[in-house]
Amino acid sequence: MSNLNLLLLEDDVYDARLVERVLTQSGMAFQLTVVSDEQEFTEALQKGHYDAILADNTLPQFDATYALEIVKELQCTVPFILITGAISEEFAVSIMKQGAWDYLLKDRLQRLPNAITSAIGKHHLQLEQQRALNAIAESEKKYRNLFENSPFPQWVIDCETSRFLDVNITAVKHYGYTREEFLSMTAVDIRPEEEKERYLKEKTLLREGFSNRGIWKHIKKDGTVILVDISIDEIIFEGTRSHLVIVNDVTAKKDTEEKLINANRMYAFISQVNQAIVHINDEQTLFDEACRIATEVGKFEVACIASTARPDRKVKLISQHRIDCEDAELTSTYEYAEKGPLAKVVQSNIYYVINDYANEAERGLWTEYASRQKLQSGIHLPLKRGGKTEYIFSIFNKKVNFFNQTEIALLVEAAGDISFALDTFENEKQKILAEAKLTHSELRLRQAQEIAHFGHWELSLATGKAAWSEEALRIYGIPVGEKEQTFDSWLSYIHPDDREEVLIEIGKGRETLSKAAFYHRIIRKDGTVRYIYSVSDFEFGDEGRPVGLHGVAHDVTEIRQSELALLQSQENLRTIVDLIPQAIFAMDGEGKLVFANKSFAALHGHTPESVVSKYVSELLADQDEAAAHVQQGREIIASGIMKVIPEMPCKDYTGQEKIFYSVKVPYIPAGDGAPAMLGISLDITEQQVAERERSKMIVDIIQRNKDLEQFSYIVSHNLRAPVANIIGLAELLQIFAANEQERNEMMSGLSTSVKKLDDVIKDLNYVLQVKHQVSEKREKLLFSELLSDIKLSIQNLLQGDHVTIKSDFSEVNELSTLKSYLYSVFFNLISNSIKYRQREVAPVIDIKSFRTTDGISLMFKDNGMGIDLKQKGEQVFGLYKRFHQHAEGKGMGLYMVKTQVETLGGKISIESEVNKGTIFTITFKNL
Amino acid sequence: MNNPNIDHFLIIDDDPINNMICSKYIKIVAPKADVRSFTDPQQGLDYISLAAASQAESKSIILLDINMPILSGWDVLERFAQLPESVRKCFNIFILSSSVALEDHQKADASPFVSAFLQKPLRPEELARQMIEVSDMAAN
Repeated sequence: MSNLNLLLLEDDVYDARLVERVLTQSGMAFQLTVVSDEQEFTEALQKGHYDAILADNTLPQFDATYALEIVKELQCTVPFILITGAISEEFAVSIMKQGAWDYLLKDRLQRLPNAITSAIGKHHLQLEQQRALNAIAESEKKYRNLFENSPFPQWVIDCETSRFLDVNITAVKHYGYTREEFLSMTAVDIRPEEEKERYLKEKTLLREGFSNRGIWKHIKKDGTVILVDISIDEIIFEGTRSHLVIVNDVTAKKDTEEKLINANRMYAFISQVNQAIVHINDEQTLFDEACRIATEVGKFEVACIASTARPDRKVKLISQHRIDCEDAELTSTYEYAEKGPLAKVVQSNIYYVINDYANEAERGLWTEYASRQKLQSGIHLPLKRGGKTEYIFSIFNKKVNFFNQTEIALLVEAAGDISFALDTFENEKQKILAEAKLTHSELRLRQAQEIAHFGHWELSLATGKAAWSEEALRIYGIPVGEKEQTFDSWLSYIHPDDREEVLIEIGKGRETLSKAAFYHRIIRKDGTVRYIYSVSDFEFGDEGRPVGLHGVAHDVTEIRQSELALLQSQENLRTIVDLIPQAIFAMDGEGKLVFANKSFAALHGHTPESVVSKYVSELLADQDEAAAHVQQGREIIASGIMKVIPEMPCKDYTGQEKIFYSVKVPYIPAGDGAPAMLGISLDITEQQVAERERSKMIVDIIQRNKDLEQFSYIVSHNLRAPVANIIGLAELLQIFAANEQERNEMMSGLSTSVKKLDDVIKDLNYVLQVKHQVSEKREKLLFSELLSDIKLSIQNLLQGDHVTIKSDFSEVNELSTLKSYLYSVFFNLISNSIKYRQREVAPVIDIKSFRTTDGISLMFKDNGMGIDLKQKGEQVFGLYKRFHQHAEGKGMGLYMVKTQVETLGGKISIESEVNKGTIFTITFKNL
Repeated sequence: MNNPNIDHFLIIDDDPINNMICSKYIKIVAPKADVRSFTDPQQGLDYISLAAASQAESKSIILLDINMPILSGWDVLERFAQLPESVRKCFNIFILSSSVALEDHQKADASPFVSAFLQKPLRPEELARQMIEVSDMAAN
């Protein structure tokens, strides 16, 4: 141990010197600061750093109790050792309770060096433990930081009650509930009515380890319903089994996606209706086409057109798509209700929408039909000739509230187009009609393009000039007037970074005269960047030569942005997963890793990228251990049940043993969906080590306390026995009229008892000396020399009893220890073997030394009478315990051996069999 | 103080001085009593199993020490328990010990064969009192 800095509180110069001398004699390297009153003591503690404080208890007006209070007040954890004169048991207990580490009597100062060393050792252990605890707190703080600063709303809910236990600031901002409001709610409260039942059902499943991800609806405080993608992990939060929920709001993404799909659908619908109008010259074909396009392109469930030309309310079905045969017959002719939807359309010449058939009050033919076919929404559109409704175009959809403003606007446009065509058919002015139709349909097309962000252009190869549709110009941010563009002017809008690739794609199309389609960015004049999907195709002349190029530009910026947002959120999640100190990994049934975070990879000396696709057997050196992990993974995948392993041992790549708290859950990865297992492991090695040290210390203390109790009990018993005899005899002498012989007998008994009492007191003195005196210096000594010394000293005994001593010190022959103690241990064990030999058998004693993993051992083996350990095992090393009637002995030998071995820092154990022999093994750990 | 029912005493203790003191006191309390002492508990047990046959009506008291090598007082009690009822009923056992440990007192109370726990040194008046109690119990 290095130079120790000690603080001594002592006002008696002589006593202070005495302490210094004892410490110097022990060979301890130290520096002693002596203070003699409260002020000096406080100052010293504030200024200096000490390894231990020694305090006298007899200072005037400043006793040790008070000094200890000052130490505590200064939050000083340094070991405090009390040096005192006589001390009552009660005071000793009270000062130890107050925080003193040890106390010793002034007349037993020899024990001081040992007391200091052992207190400092314990103190270091305490500091280590504190450090480990701090590290855990630090890691919790980091985790807390992650939770609070996460870009995603996160919260913790109680598994059982679903009550919110904690929410992060992002959740508060995003949802609009205050933290307090959150904490007064359960997870059910933030769900709309229609999902509450689903939640309660899945909560039960989740508890059993199923499904930890999903799309849900939540309600914000302002009543808005949002669509969220949530992932759930089970954690222990402040002692409660809880779920950590991470929320990703995907409402915006879903909305854009849906809007885009709808816009594309409606654009396709209206553009095909227009093309049909241009090419078709008769009513019936046009109607049939319109119905077909409505169902096939417009994705409506059913479409039909009925004639209302007659003055009465009789109607005839003249075209339909997707009406069953039976229903078609039923609806082929019918009379509509006087005040029903159809009557309203005929009378008002405007459309009529029913967005919820199930709750529609008006019951008519179509209402009946719709409920039979599970259709929820419908629209009846007037088709007019000369401004008068002659046909009704009816379209149905399975969703409730399907026909919104945009949808209706486009359908009214389409109906208007068909009406226009009816008028032109009527006029029979074919050429003008065709042109007019074209102009008209272009107008419609333009409006449709606008709705869908779809632009169109045509390039004449002869002139190099291109005509752009209005929406195309709008997409590129060009004034609507500048319809004429060239290839170069177009190229100037392309984002510089994408230009090279765009030219390559166009080049490929030119070479093969085929269709080209590619994504690229443009920069508008005002600097905004948009994402475009461009498609172009060649137009061929009569000779098969290309004469032009036409194409569409689709503004996909919003889709692109939601894709990027998704990527970003995935990236964020990855970062979080990598920052978390827990090792997270997923493994399939074959033991192949499909996912790993940084902490997991680092454990095996890899990066997350290099560890994925490796097999567990490649990561672990111990193949049995690897096989066990794979087997456990398989069981979890097969059973679908989560497993918590509170202490999972595992070696890291350096071969160091670690212990983890691990949670393993069944898991379906996105994509191919092969079932796997997801594990999260927290390294609890340091906690475990600290915990074990602590348990060991406690066991040690309990054992020592037990020893002490036993010791005091034995001592009282053995002191009382002769005293009782003395009292008995003394009284007998007084009351018993004894004769001369009897008197002599009693006097001799009295003297024997007095001698026995004296013996016990001498024994005690000896025992206590061994327990406390270790001032003797440790020195290196050879077992072989020690044994020869003993053999020489009991030479006569060995020869007389024909004792053979075999020894083997070849493996280790040297030990640094206290010579007198080890001598006594050897001597006692050898003389015991001789004393308790078997009659008729010459004693043979085997002594052997050998190395163990963490120290050295000595083994003493004899062929003596042995001890029945089943009966007396726990008492073998007890004070005044004897096991043989005939051989004389006080029951001190083995007690002393044990005490001395333990004082030397070793342990002794015994194996024995009656009439076979006894083996004692002594183990000294390396320091 | 004479008690006609109890005229046999056995002392089992490895301390010969204690045995000497005990026999002297017993002589004071019951001058006609037959007193035997054993420093080896095994010999004491052997005597018990043999003596029962010859004792017929009379009762014996055993003064038993706890702390002895090889067979402790508890071991003696265990072996005694295995003797036939006909033997056991002839004996009343008094523990006689210098032990002050509470544990020993509790253990003695728990044993069905121990009638009394006496502290060393044996007090004649205490021995007499216990003897009366034992014979009263037998009478009831």
